[in-house]
Amino acid sequence: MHQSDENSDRKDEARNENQPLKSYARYTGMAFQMMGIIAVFAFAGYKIDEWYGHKVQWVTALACVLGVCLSIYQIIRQLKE
Amino acid sequence: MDLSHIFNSKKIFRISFYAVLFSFLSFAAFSEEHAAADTSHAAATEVHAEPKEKDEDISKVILHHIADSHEWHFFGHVALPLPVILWTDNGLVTFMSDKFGHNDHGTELIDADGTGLVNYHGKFYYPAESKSADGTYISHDSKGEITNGKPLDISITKNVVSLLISVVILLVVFIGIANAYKKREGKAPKGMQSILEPIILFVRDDIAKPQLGHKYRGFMPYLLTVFFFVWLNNLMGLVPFFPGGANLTGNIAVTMMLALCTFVLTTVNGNKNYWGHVFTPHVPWWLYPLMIPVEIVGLFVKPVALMIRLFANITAGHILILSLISLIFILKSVFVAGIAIPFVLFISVIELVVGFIQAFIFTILSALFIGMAVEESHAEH
Repeated sequence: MHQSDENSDRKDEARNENQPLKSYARYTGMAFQMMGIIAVFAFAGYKIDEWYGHKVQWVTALACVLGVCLSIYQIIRQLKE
Repeated sequence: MDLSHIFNSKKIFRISFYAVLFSFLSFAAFSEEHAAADTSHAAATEVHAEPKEKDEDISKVILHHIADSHEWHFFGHVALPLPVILWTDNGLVTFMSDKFGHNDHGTELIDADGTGLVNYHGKFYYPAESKSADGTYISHDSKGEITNGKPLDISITKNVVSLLISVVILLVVFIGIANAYKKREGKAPKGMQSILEPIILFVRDDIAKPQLGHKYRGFMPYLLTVFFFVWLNNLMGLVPFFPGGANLTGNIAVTMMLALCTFVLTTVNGNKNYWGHVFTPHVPWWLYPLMIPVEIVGLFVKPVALMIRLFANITAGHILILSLISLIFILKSVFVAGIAIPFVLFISVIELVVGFIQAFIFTILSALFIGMAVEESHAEH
């Protein structure tokens, strides 16, 4: 009985693996993740600039670019999975 | 060339309907822009004082309607007073919200058991030493931020009452259903049971099982609770009169607590595989200093996205409906109602669907995040 229960669950899993819903839910989170990563890097860069009193906020600029690169890298990595 | 499809009356109706919709929307946007321009103009020259006040009034009314409140307004001057509970410098202070009248302009001092307070836009502050230039006991700094101290407000507000009502409804309905399943075991469902059984099964088969696999059983209570809680409160927020209309799921504190529950569940249930992905991601080792922070940000971004999505969707819907009604007052013509009210009905029906979809999305994303945390490692890695 337990075995068959497990089996039917496995079947459910296999059947649902292809549903577009799961991938949809996965992708909606990615955009937010990208935003979050860029925001955190920009914030860190801004704080570093503030701390050292830079006239030109080059650390912010570099951190933003780095954040964009990393978030794109992260998305490509997730898409490959 | 067969052009008959263009003259299909149904299609013409649909096209004209959308044409009207979009022209109307752009008109609304235009009038808003116009109003904004008016406001800045008036602020600059202080000549057009009247339209400025009018437009500000309407946006204030809209924001007041979607905000939490210390009383439950019914109509006209009829409102249900709710208890105010404040933790002040002098300890606990409690009174009913109508005890000191309805002045929320910060111009009147309140003496609550020896603690001086002032009500400014529905929030309680400690009054400033003396009245400021605008006649209030509220002082602002150069950026316009309020500098008055504030007691800790743990009042039973409108949203809290709405929350308690929804909890009672959910308990009554679902304990009733649970008892019915016990009593009528093996028989066909009856009454409320037969209404809600398909939805409960929908949560199980379409949300929990695909995301969680064979581990779904342990998370069903949480997923079902979140789904029905969000759905019921979305719907109650759309009812314009008591006991609805409290906009509970459009309050970011409520959605934050819901998202926090999901976050705690994922963090507590995360297995070796899940934390392995965070602290030893599959990247070259020299990228670790960059990718580990990225993965950690990802942990926190997921619940934040969950929080903002629900809050923004429900708030946007409420503002849209209120704005469409406000058009009647902005354009100062009763005939606008002929267009505005059908649109309000149209948007309201959409909001009924949005209420369900948002509850569904919140639940499925919660299930997905939990599913990622409890997932066994794949053999192919």
